[in-house]
Amino acid sequence: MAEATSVTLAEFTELLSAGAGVQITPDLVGEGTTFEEIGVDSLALLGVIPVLERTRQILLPADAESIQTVSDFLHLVNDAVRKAG
Amino acid sequence: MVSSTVIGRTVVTGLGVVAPTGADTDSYWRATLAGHQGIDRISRFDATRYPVRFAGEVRGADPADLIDPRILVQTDLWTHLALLATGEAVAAAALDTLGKGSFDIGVTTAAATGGCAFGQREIQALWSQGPGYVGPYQSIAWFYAASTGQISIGGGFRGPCAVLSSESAGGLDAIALSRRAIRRGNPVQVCGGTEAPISPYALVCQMQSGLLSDARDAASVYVPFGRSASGYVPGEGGAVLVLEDLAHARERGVPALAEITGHTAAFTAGQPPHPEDADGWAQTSEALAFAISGALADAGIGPSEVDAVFADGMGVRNADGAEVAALQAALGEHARTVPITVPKAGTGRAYSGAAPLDVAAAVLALRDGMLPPTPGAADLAHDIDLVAGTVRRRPLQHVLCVARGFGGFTSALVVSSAEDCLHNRTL
Repeated sequence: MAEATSVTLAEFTELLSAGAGVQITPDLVGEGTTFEEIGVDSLALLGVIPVLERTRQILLPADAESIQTVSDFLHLVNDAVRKAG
Repeated sequence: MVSSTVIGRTVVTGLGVVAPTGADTDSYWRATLAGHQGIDRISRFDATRYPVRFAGEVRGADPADLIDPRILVQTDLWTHLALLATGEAVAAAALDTLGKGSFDIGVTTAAATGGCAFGQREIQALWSQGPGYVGPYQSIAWFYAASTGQISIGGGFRGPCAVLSSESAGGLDAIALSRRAIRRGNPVQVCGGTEAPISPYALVCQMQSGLLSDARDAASVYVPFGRSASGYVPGEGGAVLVLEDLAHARERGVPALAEITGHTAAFTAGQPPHPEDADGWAQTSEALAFAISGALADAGIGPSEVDAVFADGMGVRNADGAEVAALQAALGEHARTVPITVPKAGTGRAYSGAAPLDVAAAVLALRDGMLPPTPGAADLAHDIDLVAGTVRRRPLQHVLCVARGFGGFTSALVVSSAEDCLHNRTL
């Protein structure tokens, strides 16, 4: 079985773009950038969560979509990936 | 204080149309006057295994070119079409001058089919792949309130909002509810309805009524009031109207296109009759006659003052007969000579969108003094004066719109000329 790989910002913004219907590129996202600032609402984020859970075989907390910033969310995801690995 | 003569008058100050025969008001009206036929073989999906092969599809506009991509992914085609029509109506009525977030503007739409195609896609994902594959927008895209909600959010319209579900009568009822909201003090309502009922799941739901045409020949697939009537075909699209208190419109300097002067809705008793059940259909005419008489009384006009009728025209022999009987009961001898037209024979029946489209056509007919023909009308089975072939030019003062929804809904609306509104506009 292949080792679970962490989720890159590029992969994450691609998933967000598809889910939210709005073009988001990694250069739009800095350390404190919020989902609101890049036009992603909690429903759009909710749509991306099962994709990440499926592809990385992880389980995110029930309120993961309420996280405000992109970097906090990615940290949460990649912590879960490391623990699962 | 506004003058007492104008209190309670509701006028149309904006129109937006999206129809198989034209994706904006002008294109639709030109095509409608020319009697264009917008019904064609279903192209949204492979319908060769279904008994119903024809429909009116909106092909003249691509929502992806015109709607915010974020909203596009959250909504079904029926809401896309509602947003397109709303954009045109709101621009025509210059509502932007009232400012974003106005509590003076409400939204009332009718919905019968909802976001069936969106819902089917998500349910297919559920059954073929699992719950983790169902997208979150399923929660907001399919249900009846989606279009009213998106129109309200997108436009920043925070006045009273509502959704009506009374199948194909819903469009008239939504316009009537808006008029009531205006009379209660909310000066502007964005109202009407659109539908996108051409998907496998949606079509299967509609077929249960037995009223859809399974004709294989395009020319005879939807022939309202004809001897060869074999049912109706579904259509996409509809219309959105901006209704406004006349005094408010005058104050803004926005011209009135027409006035909504009367409405009544009524309900038939018992189960929806089978298409072949002549007695069952005959019994439904009582409620429809009541609605028509009530609408005329509300408008303060007599039967002989109705200059034209935009009929429901279901294209089902017994249903057409019941509509003619209702017109005869409500209008008397005038029912034999008043011009009757069914422009939706060129677009298909767009359920909640069908009546707003008729009202839009009625508004334009009053404005231009032109009655559009019934596309494909042939070999009348009833003693009526059906407008067929070409446009009829004549001054129009009052037009009656009739609509029936599956399950017993009947509704009638009177639209009147805005001539006296225009006359006073500059005062």
